[in-house]
Amino acid sequence: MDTIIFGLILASVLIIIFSQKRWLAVLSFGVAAISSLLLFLHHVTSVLPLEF
Amino acid sequence: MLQKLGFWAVVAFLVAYIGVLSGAMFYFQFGLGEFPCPLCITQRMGMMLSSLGAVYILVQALRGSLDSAKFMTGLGFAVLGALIGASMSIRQILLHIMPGDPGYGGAVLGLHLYSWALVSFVVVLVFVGLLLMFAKEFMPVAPVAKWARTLTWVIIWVFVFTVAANMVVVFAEEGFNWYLPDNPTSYQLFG
Repeated sequence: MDTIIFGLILASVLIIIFSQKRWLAVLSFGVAAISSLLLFLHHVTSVLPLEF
Repeated sequence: MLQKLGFWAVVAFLVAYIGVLSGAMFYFQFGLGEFPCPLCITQRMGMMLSSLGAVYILVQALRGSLDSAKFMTGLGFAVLGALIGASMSIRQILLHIMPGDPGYGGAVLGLHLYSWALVSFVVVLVFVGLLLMFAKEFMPVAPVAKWARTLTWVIIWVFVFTVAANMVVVFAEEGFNWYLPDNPTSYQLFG
C-alpha cells in the first residue's frame, strides 16, 4: 500500500508539472492525501497506552 | 523585489524538504542501517504532499501563469500536507512519550526524527501563514535569468527523483505485502 501511495504522489507531481488544468492538480493531490490519511488510520490501531 | 524574494522563499522551502527526504533520511536508512517504521513512512508522505504545494507554485510561476487563485491553491496543498504530516508525527511522539521509553531510531541533537518532522511541519505552517499575510507583496514572480530558471527546474526534477527513489526503497522494504510490519527488521523484497 505504501508503494502505491508513493506512486500516487509521484503521479500528482508529474500532473502538476505537465498539466495546465488546476482541477486535475487538486484532484490528484486530494486522492494522494486521502490515501495517505487512510494508511495512517490503518496504523492507528489502539488508544495510546499513557498512564502517568 | 519582494516578489522575487517570494519566489526564492518557495524554492528554499522545496530544497529544505528535498534535503530532509533524500539526505537525512537516506543517511539514517542506508548509512546507519535503520529501517523506517510505518509511521516514519507516512510522515515522508506528509512532507511530499506539503512540497507539492511549492512545486505547483513554482511551475505556475515559471510558466508565467501564476495568479492569486493558483498561489492560494499551492499554499493550500502545503498547509494540508503539513497538517496531515503533523498528525502522524504527533501520534508517533505520543507513542514514545512515557518516561524511560528510548523512542524509535536514532536522535539528532537530542530529538528523534519524528520530533524533527513535527518541527518542520510547524515551520511550514508558520511560513505559509506569513506568505498569506503578505500575499500581495510576496506573490512569486519567476526570474528572467536563464540560469535561475534552469536551476529551479533542476530542483523540481530532483524532487521528482526523490519521490521516485522513496517509492523504490519502500517497495524493497515492503515487498509484495500490503503493509509494513510495525518494527521492520529486513527488506521483505529480498527475503
